[in-house]
Amino acid sequence: MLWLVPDKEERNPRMISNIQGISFLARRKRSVRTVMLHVMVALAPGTLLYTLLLDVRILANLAIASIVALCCEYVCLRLRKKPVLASLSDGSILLAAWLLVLCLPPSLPTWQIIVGAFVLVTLGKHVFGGLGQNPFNPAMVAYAFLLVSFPVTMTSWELNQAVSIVRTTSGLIETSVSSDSINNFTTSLNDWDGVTGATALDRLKELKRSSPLTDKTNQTSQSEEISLPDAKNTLRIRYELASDWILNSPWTWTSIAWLLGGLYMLMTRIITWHIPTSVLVAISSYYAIAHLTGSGMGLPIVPALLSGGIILGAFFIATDPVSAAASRQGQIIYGFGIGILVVVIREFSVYPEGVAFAVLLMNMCVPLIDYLSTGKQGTLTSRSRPK
Amino acid sequence: MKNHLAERIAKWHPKWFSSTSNSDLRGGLALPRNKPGLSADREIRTLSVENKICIPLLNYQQEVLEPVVSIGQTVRPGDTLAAGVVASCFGIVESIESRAVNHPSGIHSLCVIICPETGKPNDVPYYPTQDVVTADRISACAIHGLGGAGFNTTDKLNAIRATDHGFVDTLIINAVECEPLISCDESLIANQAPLIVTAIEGLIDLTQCRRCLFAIEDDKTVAIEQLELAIQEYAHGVRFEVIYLAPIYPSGAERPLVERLTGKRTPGDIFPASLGILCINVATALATEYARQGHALVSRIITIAGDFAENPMNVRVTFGTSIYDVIQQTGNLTHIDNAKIRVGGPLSGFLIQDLSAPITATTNCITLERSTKPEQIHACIRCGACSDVCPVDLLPQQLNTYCVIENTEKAKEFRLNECIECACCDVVCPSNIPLTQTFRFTKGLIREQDRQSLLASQAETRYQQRESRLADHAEKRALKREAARARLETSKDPIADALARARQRRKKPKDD
Repeated sequence: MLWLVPDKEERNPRMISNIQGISFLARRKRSVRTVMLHVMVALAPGTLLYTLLLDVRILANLAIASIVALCCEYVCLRLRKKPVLASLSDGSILLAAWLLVLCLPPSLPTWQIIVGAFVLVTLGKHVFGGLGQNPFNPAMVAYAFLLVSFPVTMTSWELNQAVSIVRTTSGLIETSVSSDSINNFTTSLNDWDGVTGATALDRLKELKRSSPLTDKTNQTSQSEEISLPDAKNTLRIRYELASDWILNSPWTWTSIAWLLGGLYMLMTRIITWHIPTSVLVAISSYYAIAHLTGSGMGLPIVPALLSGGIILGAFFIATDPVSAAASRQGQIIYGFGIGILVVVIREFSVYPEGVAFAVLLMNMCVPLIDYLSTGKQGTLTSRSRPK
Repeated sequence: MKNHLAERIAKWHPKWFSSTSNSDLRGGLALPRNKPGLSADREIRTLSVENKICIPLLNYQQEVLEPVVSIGQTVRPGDTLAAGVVASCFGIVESIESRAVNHPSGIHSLCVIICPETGKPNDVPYYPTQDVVTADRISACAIHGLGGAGFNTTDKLNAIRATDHGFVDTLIINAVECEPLISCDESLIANQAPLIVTAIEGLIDLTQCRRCLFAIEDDKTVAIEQLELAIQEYAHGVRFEVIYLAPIYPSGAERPLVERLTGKRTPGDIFPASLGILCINVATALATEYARQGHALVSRIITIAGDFAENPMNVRVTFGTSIYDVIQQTGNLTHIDNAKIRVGGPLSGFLIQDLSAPITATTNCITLERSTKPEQIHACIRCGACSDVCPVDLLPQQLNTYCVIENTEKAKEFRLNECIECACCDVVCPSNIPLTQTFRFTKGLIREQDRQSLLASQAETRYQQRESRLADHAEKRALKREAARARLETSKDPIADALARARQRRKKPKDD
């Protein structure tokens, strides 16, 4: 008997057949570089709005981070004796640096940006074996590294383009209630020369915690509603003000631009709907419940989704294919996990925003999700197998 | 600009714009129709046998068969060379030796070389015509699947008999041929539609199936026209249903097709036959009609096409003709030095190094493609494009990681055996990873491992049998010895006894 086993040499990359030889198929083919370019195209409008409405320094940061990241990548590739040009030109490292810079405050000192870019390439990517091997999103690794290393500079969002955004809010205050705490809140918003979403969330959190009534309201939201009308009201108005402020700030416009970019990626099939939808559904269902039950636990859905980095995170960061779950069912679980963690971190922890940690934590769960949703244990595969 | 965008969106989301209702193939690629081999006059040329014919002595499981002819013997088309293998032309067996055969790794295998006798037609019936085709005739005429895998049709029929059903529930005639360039079945239907209708009715009678479906893509306009004409004219009532499918590659693969038409999913370790479904290629169906008329299966239609094929066409080629001869006789030799020759279509085919390899039942296409610089292979970015297009719902990226490290257990767990090697994943992979190649290799590896473990278990059984045999033997000898010793001990005069025994022995011949 003779059994036909192909030679091992057949798998030698140089010998492989190339399907691109048939010209009509070549046109269908999409390379890694094209994929990355599509993502960059999707990022461009939001970045432009960021530059115009919020801060020009982001462009300088972007340039610095890109150059440092590319240099580090070059060194790493040389040290690891990998093909340099192909990896540098595929755009993956540029994209990661870009995403990192979008998450950083524009006022961050340059040397800290350099450290961030270095961490992104080395700890985020190459310690695990380069592109395709990293279990964590490199940009988020770098972000988390910077956040825990330089908490002061990482949380002070000083924007040099004073955009008068609080005008509407002030008008609202005059006509509505004049409670001290609300005034404090408004002034605190006004104190900043053009405040950011992160800071708004930050202040909100701070005030929510400092108010002695808030915790009470949290615990006894149903029974003591009547006994604490003022506190309730104050809190609600505070949320209304915050949401009004968020909706009128330029951050909303950048968020809408990220959303449009995300839709562009969906149309071009760079990403599928599974991860962003499940992230957004998980987050908005929390806020919907909080809002509908009237517990005053959070912002209304729209400002909640448009504030902070949720849209950017859902469409651009959570969808990083390398560190996300492999199967579509797994991706839905992964997205829901991120959404739940974002809410938990944002609402119940000391951090004002939790996209980065939520993504990193769910990255850790990816092997487990993949194990459970594929293969022999594949109870989650779309079709049950006939016996 | 607007049109351009619409076109793009249609390209990215083909299913949103599919007009056919029966488009529920999972995954797949919507490729532009590209069938340069079809001729306007629907004629199919037959290539004459000029050079030596080489018939591999392999069955569809790639096992080597024992030849039943000897060197110097005269053969005619239909003469058995080995079990299930017949001669394809008149001639003399020149040698039986190892030659290159159609295989991705270019291996050599035992072949019968026939020196053809010129001037004799190949279409002489070997058997008398039957009224209705029988299973015996199909077996005698060595009918093999003319689609992809080249299964023995008799085995398929027997497999159905062996199942719990015992009968054919659904007979599917597969005329779906959605791979670019390949158009052999299409030209066959356009050319011989009446005979095909007769053949299908013969098969319905043979299998006694509950229903019969004829699957064809809706963009084969000429073939459909001819088929409908033939049905009107020749069919005896409505005995089978024609199903039009959207031309999405790889609709024609057996398992996806069966699932699409009957809703029954076939797991990797069983064949659709076990579910009572018989899926037969349209060319195979026609071959059974020829078998009824007494012709053995000795030739097939193949497409020759590709970037470097000057005269793309469909030709009828006798089995055993070398690929080089086919290229030469069809006048495509000009760019042979620059072209890469692929056996099979541009997607599912494999490159072949040795052009002396013979045409067999499974060779449906020869593609001459432009040899371009291989693309740089990047790391997998786990984008999931491969699992989106996979028609059998696999996770090629996960599978690839296990196949590369040769973890066959994990690969089996991820249903490697269900992979139909359609190469859709290769087409969409942004990192140019040769997925199908790796899967093919690992499948071979698993086969080899299975064979090794089979051999090991056989050896073990043999060893155990030998051990028990030896033990038996020793026991018997011990008993005998025991008996002799007992006899010795019981007798009073051993010498007189021995003399008596000797006398007895001497007497015996006289008794006879």
